[in-house]
Amino acid sequence: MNPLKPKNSSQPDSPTLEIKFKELEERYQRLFDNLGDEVHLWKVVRDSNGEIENWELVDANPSALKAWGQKRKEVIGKTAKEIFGEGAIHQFMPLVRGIIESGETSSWTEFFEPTQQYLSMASVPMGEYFISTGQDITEQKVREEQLKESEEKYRHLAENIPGIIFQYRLNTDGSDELLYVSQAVADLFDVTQEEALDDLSLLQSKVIREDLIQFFEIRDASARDLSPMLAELRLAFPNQIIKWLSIRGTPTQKEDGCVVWDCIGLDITARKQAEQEIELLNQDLERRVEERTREIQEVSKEREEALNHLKETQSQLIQSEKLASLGILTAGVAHEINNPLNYILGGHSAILQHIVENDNISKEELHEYLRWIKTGADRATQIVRSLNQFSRSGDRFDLECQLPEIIEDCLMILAHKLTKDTIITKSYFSEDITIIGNDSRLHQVLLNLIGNAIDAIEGSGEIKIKIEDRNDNISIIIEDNGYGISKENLNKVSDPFFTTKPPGIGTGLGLYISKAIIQEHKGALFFTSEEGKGSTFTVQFPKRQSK
Amino acid sequence: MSSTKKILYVDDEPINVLIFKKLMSKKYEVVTAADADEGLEVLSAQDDIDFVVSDMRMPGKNGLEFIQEAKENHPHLKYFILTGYSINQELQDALDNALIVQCWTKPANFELIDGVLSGL
Repeated sequence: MNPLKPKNSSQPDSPTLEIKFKELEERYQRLFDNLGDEVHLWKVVRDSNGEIENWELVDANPSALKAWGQKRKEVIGKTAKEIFGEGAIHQFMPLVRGIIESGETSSWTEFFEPTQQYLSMASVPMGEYFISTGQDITEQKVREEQLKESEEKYRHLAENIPGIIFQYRLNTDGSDELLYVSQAVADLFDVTQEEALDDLSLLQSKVIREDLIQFFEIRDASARDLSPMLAELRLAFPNQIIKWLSIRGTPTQKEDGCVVWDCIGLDITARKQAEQEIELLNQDLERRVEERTREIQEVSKEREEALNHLKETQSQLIQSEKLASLGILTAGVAHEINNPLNYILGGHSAILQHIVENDNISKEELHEYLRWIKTGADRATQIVRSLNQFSRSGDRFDLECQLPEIIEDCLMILAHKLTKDTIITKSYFSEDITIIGNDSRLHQVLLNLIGNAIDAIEGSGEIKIKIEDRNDNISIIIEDNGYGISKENLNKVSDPFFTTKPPGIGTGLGLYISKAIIQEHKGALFFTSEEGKGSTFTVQFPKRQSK
Repeated sequence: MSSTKKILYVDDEPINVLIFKKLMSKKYEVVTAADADEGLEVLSAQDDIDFVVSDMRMPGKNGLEFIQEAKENHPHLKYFILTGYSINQELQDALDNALIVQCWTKPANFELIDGVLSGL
């Protein structure tokens, strides 16, 4: 039986017709056998009620047999249930009933479990028969699935990447458009994906104008060189909200001359804010460092000025102490020299009187006047010699200093300060006591200490000056019975600038400088005092310096 | 006014006393004392003294203390100081209070002293 033979042509009218028919049949048979698609002819099987319950294979072409893995003789005449099992009947029953009852062709795609095939099927009903054709689209289907999977993967990637992904095209006429933009555009621009794709200007209007101009410049350069496009844009929103967008795009030139960029855009607002904060902090820090530096410079300048001022004051005060010493010296010298000068001038006047009046003068009388002159000259000489001791040494510390002589020089200079009611007693362990040091400065020390003792005495009193040989030391002790030093002042008297004398009289540096000079001689200064009873100052020099 | 004026000169330095006496005796009668107490004794003993010239620094009372005391009993006399010091505040006060007429410094200018005394 030939399934393709038209029903109404089963009886050929003539041999010519028969030959033609034969040719036609052969052509169809060839088509049937060689067709890549499956082709199978079925006859429906009805139950006792006339209901379709199965269908029976009338013929199947080699492609079908190959797909089923069956041999022709084993399946021809068998039902679908026998060939494919119960499942196939259930799967296709609605279809078969549908086409047979409606008489209309149906086509569909189906995964056919028994053969593990995706089939693009078409069934054509012909009375109690139907022809099914099936194209194996398994490979195509798998490719589609893979593509779908891949697309899904990329879509997922595009939608979930932190930032926006977009494809941007610059046309040769200068117009531009978005080919694709991921959904994240809504978060960043407050414009939906659809709106953005529809109208790019919605996005561009959010960009701060100068940034947009700059972006176009960067874009044009990227299009010209086909170099990566790197841009940072600020997006402005209501309420002064600014977002920063960093764009990176890779350009590709298309055949028509337009350029398409595959781009990623990242929201870098947080980073920019952090950078700005850091920048502000840095500026603040720089400002504070600058301020602090200036303050420190000012303070150190002030300190330097204060120090200079202090040094200046100190040198002024040391100078004034020197002047005060000089004052004592000159006052002493004035008085001590004025008297001898009086002798000299008196003697001179007496002799002159005799000459002027042409009066004879006896040898004895003349001798007397010359004695006045000699006495005066000797005393003046002695004064000047003593005075020299106060200034001759310079900075040398290797001079032999005769302590009794120094004391005598000082007493000479201080004589004018002494009332005749102040008794000075001296007791030295020897007449020849020397230490090695600076003669002038030792004069200054003893002038100061003896001068203080004299100042401490009101009315009458006694000053004892002793030089003692005490084991390893030589000590000069100056003891007065003057008004003494109060307990509260006792530990202040050698402080610089401390004085109880009226301003202009005492500088407060006498003891301070004396102490320094004594220390220069490796010596020490001690003192005890009781208010109302007097003071004792002891200058102690190490003996190894004595000769 | 031909009578010779009498000066009391007080100084503890013997040579000064000798000089004063030698150079002033031509025109004046000069009596001397070595300190304040001796000077006061001389003043009490001799009522014809016109001028008193005293040294400043002497044992016991100084020149001004001596003059202060002397003036109580002998206010009509003219008092002077002849000192080795320059004029200090104490002497300036004495001049201002008219305790003394003048203050001279050593070495003494006897012509000046004579000039002042002879004008009085």
